[in-house]
Amino acid sequence: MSAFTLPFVQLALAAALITGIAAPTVGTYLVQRRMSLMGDGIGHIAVTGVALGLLTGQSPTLIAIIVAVVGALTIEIIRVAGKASGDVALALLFYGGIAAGLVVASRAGNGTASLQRYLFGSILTLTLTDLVVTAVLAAVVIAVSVLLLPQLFAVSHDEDYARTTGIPVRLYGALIAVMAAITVTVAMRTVGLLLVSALMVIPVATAQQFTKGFRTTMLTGMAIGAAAAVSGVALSALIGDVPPGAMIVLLCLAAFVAATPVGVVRARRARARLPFQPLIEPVEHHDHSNDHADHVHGETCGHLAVAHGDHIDYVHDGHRHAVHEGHYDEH
Amino acid sequence: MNIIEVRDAGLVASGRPLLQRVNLRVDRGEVVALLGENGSGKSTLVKMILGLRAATSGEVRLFDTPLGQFHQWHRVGYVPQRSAAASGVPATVWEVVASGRLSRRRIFAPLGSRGRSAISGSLKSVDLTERAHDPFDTLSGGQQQRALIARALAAEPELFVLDEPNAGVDTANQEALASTLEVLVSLGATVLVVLHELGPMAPLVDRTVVIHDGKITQDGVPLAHSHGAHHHHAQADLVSHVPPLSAPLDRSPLERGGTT
Repeated sequence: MSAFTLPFVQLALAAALITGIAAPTVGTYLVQRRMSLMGDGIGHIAVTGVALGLLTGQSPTLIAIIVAVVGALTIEIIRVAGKASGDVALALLFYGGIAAGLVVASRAGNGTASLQRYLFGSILTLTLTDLVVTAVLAAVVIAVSVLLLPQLFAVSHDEDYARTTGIPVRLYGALIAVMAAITVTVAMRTVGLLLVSALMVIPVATAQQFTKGFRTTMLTGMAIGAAAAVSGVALSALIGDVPPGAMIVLLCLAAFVAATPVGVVRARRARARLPFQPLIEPVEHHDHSNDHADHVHGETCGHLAVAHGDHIDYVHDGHRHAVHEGHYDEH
Repeated sequence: MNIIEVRDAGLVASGRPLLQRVNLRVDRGEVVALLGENGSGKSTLVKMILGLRAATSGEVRLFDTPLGQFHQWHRVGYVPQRSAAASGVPATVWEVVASGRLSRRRIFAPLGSRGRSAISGSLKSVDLTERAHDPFDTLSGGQQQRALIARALAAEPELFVLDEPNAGVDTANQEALASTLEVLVSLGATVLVVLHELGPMAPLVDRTVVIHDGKITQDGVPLAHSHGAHHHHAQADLVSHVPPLSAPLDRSPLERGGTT
C-alpha cells in the first residue's frame, strides 16, 4: 500500500474523485438529449486547443477550454438549426479538430509527445495547481447541473413544451453545451480526450438500468463515476505501468456489464406490468372461446399478432383471439 | 376577452405555404376543436399560436397581448402529442409533471408547498397518483397522455391547448380524457383542442374549426350539433373492433354476419 503515500498518487486520486463525480452530471443531460457522442466530438475539437496552447506556450488547458466552448456552441447551433446535413457538419467539425490539432502540435517542437498526455490522460503528473483548477471547474459544473436540474431536465426532456413555460430554452441549451466543454477539458488530464466521453456516458447508462427517475439516475451515475475513477487510479498504481485513464473506462464498462442482468429483469417485469385487461368489456364481442384450450398464443405461436388497443389479438382461423383471465375472448 | 386571436396569419417554410390568411378567435370559456386531415396544418397552427413556430405574416395574440410581448406563460397549459416526449434517461411521472411548474418558478427557487400540492393535485385529477414514482416510459399510451395533461394542469393555467390527445389512445381512455376536460371546462378553462374526429369529446365542444390545406374552411357550431349526425360516433366501439387492415386471414365483418 506504500504507493498511496506518494504525493503524486494522492493528487491523482483526488483529481479522479472530482472528475468522476462531475463528468456523469453533464453526461446525464447529454444522454437525455440523445447526444451521447457530443463529449467525444468536443474532445476531438479540444485537441486543436491543446495544440495551440503547446505552440504558443500558453496553458494548453486554458486554450483547450476556449476552443472546446466555441466548438460546443457550434455543435449546439447546428443541432438547433436541425438541418439534415447537420450530421455531416458535425463529422467535418470533429475530424477537422483532431487533424488540425495534430498538424499544429507537430510545429510545436516537442508537441506530438506532449499531445499524448492530453489524448490519453496523464493523471500521475498533475501538480497541486492543476488539482485546484480541476476542483474549481468541476465544482461549478456540479453546482449548475444540480441547482438548475428542473430547468435543464425540462429542456432536455421536451424542448417544445419547455418553451411554452417561458424559460429561455436556447440559453439553457447553450449552458449544457458549455458545461460539456468544461467537463471535457477538466477530464482530459484524468482519462484523456479520446476517452473522456466514456466517463460522461457509461456511468449514466449503467445507472439507468436500475433507476426509475432522472434525479436518481444522475446521483447514481455520479457515485458510479467517482467509484470507477478512484479505483481505476488505485488499480493502476498497484499494478504499475497501466494507463489510469483506460483502466477507469474499463471499470465503468465492467460496472455496466454487471448491471445488465438487473436491467434485463427489470425491463421484463415492467413489460409484465403493462395494462393488459380490456378496460371496456365489449359485450357483443365477448364470446369465450373454449375450443382451442390446448393452444397458448405467444410470440412464437405462428398466429398473426395484431395490436388492438392495449393488448395483442392473435388471428386464429379467421377470427381474433385475445387472452382474458385464462381463456380467449373473440374480438 | 379574446384568449387567442390570430389575425390574417400565414406561415411559409422553405418557400412552401403551410398556413394562409388564418383568422381565429377563441373567447374565454370556449371549447374549440380544430379538425383537419393529416398534413392540413392543424398542428402547425397550434405551434404558431404557442410561439413554437413564428408566423411569417399577420399577427398572433394571447390574452390580448402580442405573442412577442407575452410573458405570462403560467396562464397557458400545452399538451403536445405524446411522441414528442421520448427521452434517453428514465424520468418518473412526478418529474415530468413537475416541469409543468416551471412557468411559476423563479430560477434556483425550491418548489415550495404550493408547487408540491399543485403537482399532487394534478396527478390526482388524472388518476395517476399511484404511478407517480414509476418511469414515464412504462405507462400505457392513454396514461402517458393523462400524465402530459397533468403536467399542463400543474401550472394552474386558464387556457389549455391540446394537440391530438386521442391519437393512439383506446376508447376507454378517450372517454376518461373527455371527462377530465369536462371538469376543467366546468371550472372555467378555455380549451383549444386539435382532433382527428370529435369522438367522446363531441358534447363538450362549443365550436369546430376545420382546416384544409393550410386554410380555415369552416368555423361554426359542431357538425354533430347542427344536424344531429351523432350516429357517426355512436358506433365508435364497433368500428374500432374491425381490424384496421383486411389481412388475408381475416374475413370481412360483413361476411361474418356482424359478429365482429
